[in-house]
Amino acid sequence: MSFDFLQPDSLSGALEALAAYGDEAKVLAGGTAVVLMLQQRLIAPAALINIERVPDLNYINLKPEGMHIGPLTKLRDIERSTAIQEHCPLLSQTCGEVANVRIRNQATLGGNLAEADYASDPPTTLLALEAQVTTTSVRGTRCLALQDFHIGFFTTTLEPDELITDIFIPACPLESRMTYLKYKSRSSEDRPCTGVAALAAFDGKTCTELRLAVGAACEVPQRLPNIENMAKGQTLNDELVGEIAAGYAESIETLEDIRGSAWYRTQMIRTHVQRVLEDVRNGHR
Amino acid sequence: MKIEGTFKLHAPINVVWDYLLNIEEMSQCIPGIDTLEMIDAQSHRGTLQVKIGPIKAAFSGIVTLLEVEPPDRLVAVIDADDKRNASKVKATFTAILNADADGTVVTYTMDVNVRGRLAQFGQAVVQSTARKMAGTFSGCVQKKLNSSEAK
Repeated sequence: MSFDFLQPDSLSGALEALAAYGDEAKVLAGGTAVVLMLQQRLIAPAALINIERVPDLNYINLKPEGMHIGPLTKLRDIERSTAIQEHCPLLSQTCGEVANVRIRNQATLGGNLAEADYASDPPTTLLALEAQVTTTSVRGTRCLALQDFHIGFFTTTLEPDELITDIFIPACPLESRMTYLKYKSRSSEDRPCTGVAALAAFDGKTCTELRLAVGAACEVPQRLPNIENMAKGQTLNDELVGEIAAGYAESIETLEDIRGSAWYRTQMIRTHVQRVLEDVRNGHR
Repeated sequence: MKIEGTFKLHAPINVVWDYLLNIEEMSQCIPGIDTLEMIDAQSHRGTLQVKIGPIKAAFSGIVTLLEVEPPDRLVAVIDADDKRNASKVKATFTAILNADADGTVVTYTMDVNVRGRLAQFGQAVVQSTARKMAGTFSGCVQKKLNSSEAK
């Protein structure tokens, strides 16, 4: 196996390399996915473009309108960032649940989104947070909502010559509580069998907004606005929580893999949507 | 693993059947097919490129028609390997055609056995890939049937 190994030290250098190799190139960020696939000889790219030396892609910038996170930001840095812990605890909590600390020290948020592995934690939470992904190529810049970015198993709308250059998370609503519940069916460091992220805003005990995303159990993370809206203007009593959990379980087409059957995952969605709603209602998070 | 699905074609059952059995014509609608040559009346040798998640696989192998029962049942076996990914695929493909009010419903079942490196991709990923290919295939067949009807 042989390939060209490029280490551009500028964004324009990286984009030109991507434009030249197109589909035949693989971008190397943290390497936790690409290197494994190379080792197993599952991929044979003509070029490996290491973007580690590209400056200004590793940042966490807090603005009044929200948070900008650079694609090369390590999951561990997001987990430990006091700014994110304060303004968007859901994201730091979720990144802290990924694999183990050695992986989190290496894996990047941009790499995680570009790989689009369904069995992953951050995409589910980023969907609940209504994240936007900015991509750049020599042709220009695009900004996409996350639901328009992940479109299938390991499939994104990222063009072969594009690089993720920013991830934006709009400021969370005031008086909101949020949590991510990761369910692992095998071992403590495993990828999720089912992941549920919830963000709920309250006026007293009345829920004014609910965002609920389910991932890892289905091809791409999903939100169901019709069911989310059932919570609007209501108190999240046990009956309503049960209805929402049942609605999610019945509506989502679940997948089958080594971590659980489709039937099992439907049950796990019901259980974990219920638990996550009880957590945000009771203010445990 | 079992892969199942249906698609509908707006054409009479005998037209659909004739089209599907015209291997040379029909194969132009299979997404990712590179070459297909006839060995004998029952068998064809071909190569197919398919993207499974991040991986590009290139299969080469033989398709043999096992049971041909006009106009509604077809069974074929596929025996192929991908040398670069050290993987082998054996599959039995069954297609059942059903005439309905305004066309033909094709129901397909594939019993697929994947061995080697590609086997690590579970049923979910392979099934989704197959479903997308079937969607592309049926769309293409419908177009071809429409255009031949227009002639």
